[in-house]
Amino acid sequence: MLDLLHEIFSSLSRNKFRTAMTGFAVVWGIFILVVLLGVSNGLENGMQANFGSRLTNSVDIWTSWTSMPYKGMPRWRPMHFTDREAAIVRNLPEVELFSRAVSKYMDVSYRTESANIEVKGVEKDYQTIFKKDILAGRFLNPHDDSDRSKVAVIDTRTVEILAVSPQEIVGQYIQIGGILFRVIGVCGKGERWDGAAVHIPFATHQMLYSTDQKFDKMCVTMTAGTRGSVNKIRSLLCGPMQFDPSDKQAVGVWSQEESMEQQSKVMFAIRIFIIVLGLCTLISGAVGVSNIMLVSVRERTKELGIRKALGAPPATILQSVVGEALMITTIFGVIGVLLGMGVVSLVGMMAQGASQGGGQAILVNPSVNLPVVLIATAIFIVIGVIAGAIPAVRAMRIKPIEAMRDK
Amino acid sequence: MIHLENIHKTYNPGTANALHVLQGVNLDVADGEFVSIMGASGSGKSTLLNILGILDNYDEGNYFLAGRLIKNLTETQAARLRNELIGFVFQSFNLLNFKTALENVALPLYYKGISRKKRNLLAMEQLDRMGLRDWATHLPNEMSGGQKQRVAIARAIVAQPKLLLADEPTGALDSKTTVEVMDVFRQLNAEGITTVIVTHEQSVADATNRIIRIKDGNILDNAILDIKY
Repeated sequence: MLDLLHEIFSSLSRNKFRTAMTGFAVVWGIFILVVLLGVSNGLENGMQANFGSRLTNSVDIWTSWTSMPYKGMPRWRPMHFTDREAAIVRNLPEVELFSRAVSKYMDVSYRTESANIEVKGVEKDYQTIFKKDILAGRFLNPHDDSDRSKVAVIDTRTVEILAVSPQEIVGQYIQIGGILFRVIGVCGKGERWDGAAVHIPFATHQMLYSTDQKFDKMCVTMTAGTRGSVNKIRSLLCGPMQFDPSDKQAVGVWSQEESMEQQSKVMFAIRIFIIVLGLCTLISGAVGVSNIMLVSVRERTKELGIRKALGAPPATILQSVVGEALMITTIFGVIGVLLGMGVVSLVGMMAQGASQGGGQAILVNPSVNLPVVLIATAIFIVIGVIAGAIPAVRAMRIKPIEAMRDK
Repeated sequence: MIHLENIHKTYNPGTANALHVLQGVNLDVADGEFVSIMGASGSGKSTLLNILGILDNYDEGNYFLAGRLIKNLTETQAARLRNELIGFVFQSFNLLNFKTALENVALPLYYKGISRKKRNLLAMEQLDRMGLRDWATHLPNEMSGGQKQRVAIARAIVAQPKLLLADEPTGALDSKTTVEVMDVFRQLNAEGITTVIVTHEQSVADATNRIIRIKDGNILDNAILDIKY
């Protein structure tokens, strides 16, 4: 066994250039495979992260401008929701949780700290829909709304900006646009792309900042699959709001579930694509190895002939050629795996740095599944060995006399 | 040692290029003989040597080597018999030029399954006998033709074969070295190894005890020479 290893090693080191080229083919194949797997993982994680933490069955409904003329009215009319539309949506049997939402950027200050922060007027269900954790105090409740209380739930980003601790701020008063609000709770920060936010009762927001009682957004959750609800909501609203039923721009409806479905289809396609690419890489690597083994056997014809004349059994010829293929694919396969994993974690660190600014994450935590990589490497080694075995069997059959005549 | 009965060998049988190289060769070589086979190129002498060396098979007849019928062997069986019974010396030396003289000599022992330590010891013994102890760690291309052929002879006898087969062993050597190499063969034969040398040089053939002439695939002449030494 030791002798066999010694023979293989000396054969490989005798042809350093050839060994290096074959090794490169193997390293490259495995490397590409690992990087592909890592990046596709990261892509998937990134897509997942961009969905944020809200409930899967949530649906956003918002107003915009009409893009078609309707009943003699021109296009480009601004649309707004009123209590009438809110009632229509709230009374739909599929709707479970419901919150109207308005938003306005205002100066928020506490003691000496001050910043321009998004102030959202929302209702109780908003907390559940967006899975807001409460770190101190409580979230808004219906009484805050009906009383039009001047209370606020601030998120951790705002807490940081105001330079206080969550426990310390609860019960204190902050100024929002010059009006004093009592902080009743601190909630977790929003999605990764959200900035700091202060939540106040919807009714209070409307009373103070939108005296026409209009608003532009409703966040709801719907039972039993939201598929189809998108069109249903739009067709219910087009009558009272007076826009063309086929005008998709007047009222926007976005369903988390539907987009997730679409993205998982995209992800599935990407995954298939990567599997196919990976297989192609494996095949090209195997072809590389088998080519080199063919050349190696060709070059060693005379040597193998001499060995056979001296009494080498055909099996040892097979062993030395296959052993060579095995050693090349194993050693360089491991190098390829390590290089690939190194590059993947490097890309991961860079992606993390890039997304720290709060932008959309393209790659999140691109990591490789070690068992998958090991299986891929094992497949590669098996292919390499089979590729080496073909010329080895041929080498085994060489007649010593013919081989020794070879120059 | 060698008994050939009506050996036939045809290359490319059944085609337009069919070549009936050996046409019923009968031959006996006794234990301890020192024989040369002579013939022009194309006479079939190389083919005969390949059959004697179990490097090639024959179509018809029987070949007995050391009392064993050599027929219908698998590659593995043939390899084992070559390893046990036969030592080869070739015109172009056929040393592995990436291995040292010592490693080359030790190679047949490797296939016999002898440990590295023992192999190197035995190989060194043979090199010493050829006067090449100081050249043990040299590569073949650092040596002269005569030295290379002596390394090849050491390799051929290291596994203590019963039969030494040499194919034009002096073909690549000058006349002075030829004499030296033939002396080595004679000495080995004197120690009891049956030796068969294929050559087209009369002087080489004259150095053996019997000359077998072959022409067009037939043994012409089977003269026993006077021992000149």
